Amino acid sequence: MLELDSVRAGYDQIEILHGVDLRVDEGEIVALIGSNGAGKTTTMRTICGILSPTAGSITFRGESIDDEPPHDIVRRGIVQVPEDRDLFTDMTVADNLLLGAQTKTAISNREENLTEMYELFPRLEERKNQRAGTMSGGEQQMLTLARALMGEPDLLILDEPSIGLAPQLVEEVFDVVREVHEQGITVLMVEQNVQQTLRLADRGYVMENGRITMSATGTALLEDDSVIEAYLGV
Amino acid sequence: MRLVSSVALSLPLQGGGLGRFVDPFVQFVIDVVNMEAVLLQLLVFGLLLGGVYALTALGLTMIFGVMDVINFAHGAFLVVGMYTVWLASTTVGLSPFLGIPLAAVVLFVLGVVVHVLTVEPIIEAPQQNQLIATLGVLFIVQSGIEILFSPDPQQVSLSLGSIELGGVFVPRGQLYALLIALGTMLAVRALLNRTDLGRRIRGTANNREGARYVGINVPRINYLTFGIGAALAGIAGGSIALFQRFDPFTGETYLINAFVIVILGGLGSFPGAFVGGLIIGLIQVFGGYYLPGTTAQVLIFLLFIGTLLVKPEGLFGGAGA
Ligand SMILES: Nc1ncnc2c1ncn2[C@@H]1O[C@H](COP(=O)(O)OP(=O)(O)O)[C@@H](O)[C@H]1O
Ligand SMILES: [Mg+2]
Repeated sequence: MLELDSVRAGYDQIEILHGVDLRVDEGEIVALIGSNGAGKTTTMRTICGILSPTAGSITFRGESIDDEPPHDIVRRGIVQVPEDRDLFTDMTVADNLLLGAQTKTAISNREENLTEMYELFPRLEERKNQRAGTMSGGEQQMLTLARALMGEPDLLILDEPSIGLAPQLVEEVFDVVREVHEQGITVLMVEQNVQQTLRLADRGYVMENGRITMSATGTALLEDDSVIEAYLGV
Repeated sequence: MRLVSSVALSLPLQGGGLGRFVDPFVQFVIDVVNMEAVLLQLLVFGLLLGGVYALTALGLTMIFGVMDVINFAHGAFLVVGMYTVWLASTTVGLSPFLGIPLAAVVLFVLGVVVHVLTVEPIIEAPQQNQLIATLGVLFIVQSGIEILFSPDPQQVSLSLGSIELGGVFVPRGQLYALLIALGTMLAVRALLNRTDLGRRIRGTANNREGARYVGINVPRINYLTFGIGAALAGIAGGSIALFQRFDPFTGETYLINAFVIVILGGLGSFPGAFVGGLIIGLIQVFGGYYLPGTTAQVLIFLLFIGTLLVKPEGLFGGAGA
């Protein structure tokens, strides 16, 4: 479905990604793990067209997307929950959700989708007329997830969706990911909760210093000594 | 009442030095206490002017709110609006009231063209770049108009007269300009708050990065906002032409006041532009009546500097477009 081949990218003159290879197949949950500053967020931003690769190729369903602007990539069905959320903090919760729908089909289905989001996240319905910036961190994270789902993605990209959340909220985020996946959405996620993520994921990649250093099934990575030592704190 | 008058008369400063600047304020207080009829007249003039000022600031604040661009070309857009109404009226005899919507269309197109050619290519560059580019557009357009139509003042020949309401004199030209300004502001508000495009514009103003993540075509929002901002200047310029003479450089004066209004109200703030416009209109009318020479303009600049020192975010600072 999504394929990165020797992708190089970075900021201004600094190259951060030194040739990343990564693949996500239809229907999978794929995890990307790695220590802070490894380049995971840079990879996600490059996939979504926020950054442009300087070399290599990115294809989605066999078509090249690496020189497309973000709105064209969203139209192809790739939607991201960004690491820093990027909510419309001065606008209402309802406006944030409505803005999540930008493609033709997402716009025509948005009333039903809105109802569905309010069922999935009852807190958001209670707060639909409140300014997004006034909500708690957990609520904002749920809103970011719901906003992305309003875009009717085929591939949902999550960049540390549980960052800074209390344990029961982390659980809720993982529940939503599971549910979304059961509805047929393919998932690519970056997470610090390595154990939980690898248990959920079909496959996983380990990234170090802008390169993929390991790739295997979730369970295989969970049992790998170097992964255990570096990320599971044993 | 008598008490205030006698205090004023016994002021030691009267006549010379600072007195020249203090006396008008004392006179103002005396008139307030005596409830002089002239106050109501000045209030009406101030509101008439302030409403139009608010409209001159609206496009400027919208463009800043959405893309953080300080658009000096706004002064040129105002003047093109004036000349469009004048030209349509003098050449084909089009009524100025139809000339104003025509100016909106002309300016929308001009705004989009100016944006695509000068702003969009450098939109990610530091702010002073766009400021210089749009200042260049201002000079080019002003000179172009000067070459085409001479530097002489022009005037839309309209004898609208005035109406009198309970001793207060309301010039029709200014009244219509105010009504057009209010109608336009309500229409823009409805566009921003009640349409999908408006929601996208507000979203882009609030968080450009977020707008890109959800799949808003941000470059398109940019040029549409620039076009709408220019169209608003066209309507404002056309409305001013209903009651005032103008030349190729009239836009500069309005541009300066529009900047003061935008800073006073808060950059990017819609209610700020409205309230700021009224404040500046009132200061200019009351100042023009009570203060010597062009002191009112000095007062406006003091208010501008004061705002930057005391409340740099403005009265309605940072509350979205
Ligand atoms: N906007 C930026 N400008 C310059 N360098 C950046 C920027 N964002 C991140 N970096 C650098 O890129 C590297 C990778 O960062 P990132 O992709 O965020 O890593 P991760 O998500 O794996 O923690 C880091 O060294 C970081 O300092
Ligand atoms: Mg990161």
